Amino acid sequence: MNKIMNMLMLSCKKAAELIEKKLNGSLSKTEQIQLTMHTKMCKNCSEYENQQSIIDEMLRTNCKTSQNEQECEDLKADILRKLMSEGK
Amino acid sequence: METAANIITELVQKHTSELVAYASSRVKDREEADDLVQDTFVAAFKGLENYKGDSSHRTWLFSILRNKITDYYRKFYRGKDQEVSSDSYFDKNGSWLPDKAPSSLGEEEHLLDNPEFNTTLLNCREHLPEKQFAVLQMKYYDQLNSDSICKELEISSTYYWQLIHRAKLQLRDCLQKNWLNE
Repeated sequence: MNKIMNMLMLSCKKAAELIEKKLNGSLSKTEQIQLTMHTKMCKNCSEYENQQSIIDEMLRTNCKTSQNEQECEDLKADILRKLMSEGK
Repeated sequence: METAANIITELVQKHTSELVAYASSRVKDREEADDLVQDTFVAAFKGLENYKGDSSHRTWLFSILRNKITDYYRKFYRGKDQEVSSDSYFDKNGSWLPDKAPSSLGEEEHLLDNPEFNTTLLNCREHLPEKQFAVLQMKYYDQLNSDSICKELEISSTYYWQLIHRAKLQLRDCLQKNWLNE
């Protein structure tokens, strides 16, 4: 009985790893059961799971980095200056 | 006849912006990203006479830039394939440390469409260590699979997953601290 309990009882640290694994769709059947048991009882980890799936979704759709046009013009000028001085 | 200098000038004018956008999606440090683009044009200028024209100039420039970025990261990751610890989030029994425990961020179903929340996330992403930022961007922005990321950076798959997991732990923690206090 103890053995079964140990198998079913995950630490939060392990649960967080399995949540990451789950988001990548690579959870085994046993791990799936272990994780569900854990998140049903653990509010922190069930919160963690919700939030990580939101973060995943946002990272996938909103990862543009900002770009400033003036900076870009300055960089072009720098590059050209460098190229022309090397090309001499 | 078009001289090499004319051709390269035109390429700089035309492609700098998109090359920088790509470089800074991969490399967190903006100056580093600019330098990589500059190096790309220097290499292109030197290689212009050997350029066969079997791919477009744009494709050619992007392939030079990609190689430069890969070189930059390999240098960065080399010999550093050690364990990434998540111990700052959990105690020795593997339970959440009190100040790291996830708590509600408010009405979660609305967060996805909230521009302010999105900005907070992007700011948090800026605070990730460079290595974690790179794998995160390759996974989510370039949507590469884990095998190609590991191959490109020459890192083990275990290390890769540790980096991703660590980055996600930090992002979430940063969101909780900054979102609720705003």
